[in-house]
Amino acid sequence: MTTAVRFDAVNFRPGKGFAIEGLSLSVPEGSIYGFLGPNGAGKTTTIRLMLGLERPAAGRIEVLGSVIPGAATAALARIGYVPERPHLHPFLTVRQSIEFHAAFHPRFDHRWAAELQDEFGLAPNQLLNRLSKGEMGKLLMLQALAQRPDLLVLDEPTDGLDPVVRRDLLSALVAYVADHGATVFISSHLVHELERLCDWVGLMDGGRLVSEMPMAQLKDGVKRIRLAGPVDALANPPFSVLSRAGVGDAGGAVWVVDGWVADCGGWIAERGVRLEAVDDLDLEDGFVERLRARRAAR
Amino acid sequence: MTSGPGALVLRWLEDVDGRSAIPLYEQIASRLKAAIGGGVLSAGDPLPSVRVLAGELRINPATVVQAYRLLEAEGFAEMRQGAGSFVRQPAGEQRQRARDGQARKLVRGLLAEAARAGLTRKDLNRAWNDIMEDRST
Amino acid sequence: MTMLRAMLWFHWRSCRNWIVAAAVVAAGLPVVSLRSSWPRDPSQMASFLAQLEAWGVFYPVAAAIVGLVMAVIIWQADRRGRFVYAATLPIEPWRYVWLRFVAGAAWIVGLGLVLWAASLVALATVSLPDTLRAFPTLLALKFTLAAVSVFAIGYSITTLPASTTRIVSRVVLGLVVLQALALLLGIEGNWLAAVGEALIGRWGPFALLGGRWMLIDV
Repeated sequence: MTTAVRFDAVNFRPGKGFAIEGLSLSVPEGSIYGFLGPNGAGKTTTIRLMLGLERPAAGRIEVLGSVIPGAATAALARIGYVPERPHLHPFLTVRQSIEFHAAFHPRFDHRWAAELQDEFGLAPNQLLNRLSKGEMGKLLMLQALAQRPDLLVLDEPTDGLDPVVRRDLLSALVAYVADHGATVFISSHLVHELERLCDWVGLMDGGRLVSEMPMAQLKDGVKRIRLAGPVDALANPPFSVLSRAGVGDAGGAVWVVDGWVADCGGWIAERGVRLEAVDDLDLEDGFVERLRARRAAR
Repeated sequence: MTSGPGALVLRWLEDVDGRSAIPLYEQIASRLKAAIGGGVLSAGDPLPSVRVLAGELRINPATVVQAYRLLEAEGFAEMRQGAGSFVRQPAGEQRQRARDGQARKLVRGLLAEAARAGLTRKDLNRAWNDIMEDRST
Repeated sequence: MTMLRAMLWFHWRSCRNWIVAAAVVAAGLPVVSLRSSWPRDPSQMASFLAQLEAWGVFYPVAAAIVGLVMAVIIWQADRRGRFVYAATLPIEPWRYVWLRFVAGAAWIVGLGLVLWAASLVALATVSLPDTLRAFPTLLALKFTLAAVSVFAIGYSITTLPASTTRIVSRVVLGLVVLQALALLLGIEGNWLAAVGEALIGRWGPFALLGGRWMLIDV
C-alpha cells in the first residue's frame, strides 16, 4: 500500500505555549482519512505543514512523493485545498476567481466547474465579498475539485455551514472520489459527519497524534462492558481499559475498553467475573473516551 | 436526480445509520435484498451507480462497492463491466436462504436488545401474541 | 501566458480605481501644461518655454508616485489573505514574484502610452514655429522608464519580508527626523538633500527623474 502523506517525527512550534511534537502519521493512497480532534489540537497547523506553508523544526514530511517544503510546488499542482478560513480575493467575482484559479492549474476541468457552479447555485457575477458563508464554502470546494487533484486537503470544510450546504459539499466530494479515486484528508471536529465517510481515522490532541487506524478497527475495538463480581481480579487484561466506573455496592463496574475481541469474554469469565453486557460505541463516544483516557494518563 | 428504480432505491437507503454497530455496507446490502425480496426491485433493474449512491448518502464509495460485491456474491446483483450493476432475481432456494438469514438476524438483534432491557422470553412471547392479534382484528 | 493574463486582470480588479486616477493624471498633464502655457501672441514664445519648464517638474513627481504607489498596493491583496492563497498555488515563489512584477510594470507601460497619446492630442491643437520641436515620444518614454525604475526599486523593498520592510522604512523615517532636528538646532549641513541629489544625480538609480522634462523644446 503506497502512502499519499507521511509525517515522520515532525516537530514544530508555531508560537508560545503550543507545539506539534513527534508527529508521525501516514495517509494511505486512495483512503478518505478523517483527521479528528478538538479545537486547538493542532489540526490546522498540521495541514499548514503538509502544504509547505510552515517549515518543520525537525522531522520529515512527504506528500505525493515530494518532500515538503522543498518540493512543495510539485505537490501543490496535485493538491486541492479548502482552508478553514476562506483565502480567496474578495474583490473578484465568482467567475473571475474560478478563471484566476484555473490559470494556475493545468488540469483544471472547466466543464465540470461550470456544472458545479450551476448545481451549487453560484451566480457568476457575484462579488466574493457579497457571498454568504455557505456560498463561499461551495466556491472553495468547487475550485479545489475542478483542479482535478490527486489529494484533497480539507480543513473543516463544513464548519459553520447549514445542513443543506454540508450535504451538497460532501456529495460533490464523494462523487469526485468515486470517479477519480483521489485521496482525501479531511479535518473536522464534527465527528458524526465523518463516521459514514472515512475509512481511516487519525485522532489529534494537544499537538500529538493519539491514534491512527482504519475506521472499522476503531469502531470495533472500543466497547463499553458491564461487569458484575470481583472486578479487582481482572489484573493485566488482554485489552486496554480507557475508563472505569463503579456501579452499585455489589462490586459491579462499567468499563470502556479498547482492543476488544470475542475471546476477551472468556478471559473475564475465567476470573469469576460475570460479563453482563458488551455495548458498541459510535465514533464520537469512542473518540471522547480515547481523549479522556489520554488526558487522564498525563 | 435520477428517477425510476434508482430514486426508489435511494429512498430505501436514505436512513442507513453510520453510528450503528452493523457495518454500513451490510446495512445497504440487506436493505436492497429486502427491496428485491419484496418485489420493489425486479430482475434487470439497474442499481444506482457507485458515484450516485455514495454521493447521495455521503458515504465512502468503497462502501458501496463492498455492498454491491456482497449482493453479487449472494446472487442478488450482477456487475457488468462498464455498464453498472443490475438486479438479479436469485434462484428460489438461494432466495429463501437469504430471507431466512435476514429474519434470523432481525430476531437475534431483538433478543440481544431484550436481554439488555432485562426482558425474558415469556415477556417477548406475550408481546408477540398481543401484536399479532391486534393485526388480525 | 495564461498566468500573466490572469495576473494583469487581477491587478486591474484589485487597483483599478487607482489605475484610472493615474491615467487621468497622465492624460491631463501634457494637455493642461501645454494649453495653459501656450501664448496668445507669438512674441511671448520665450516666456512660454519658461512656463512649460515650470510644468515639467510634475512629470518626475507623477512618475515617482505612480511607481511607488504601484509597488505598495501590488501586494495588498495577498497581504490581506496572509499569502495563503498565493502560497498554495502550484508555482515557485520566485516565479509568482516575477509575474506580479511584470504585470505591475505592464500597467505602468499602459500609463506611459496614455501620456504619449495625450501628448500627441495636445500637440495637434497648436502649430509650432520652426524654432521649436516637439518630443512626445521621448517624454512618454522617459516617463515610463522613470516610473518603472521607481516601481522596480520600490517593489524589491515591498517584496522583502514584512519585518525587513518595516526596518527599512523605520531607518528612512529616522533619518528624516534626525535631519529635521538638525535643521531646527541649527546644525550645519543638509545631508538628506545630498543623499537625494546622489540618488537622482547622473549616476544615481533615479537618474531618470532628474534632467529636463519638456514636451516642446528648442
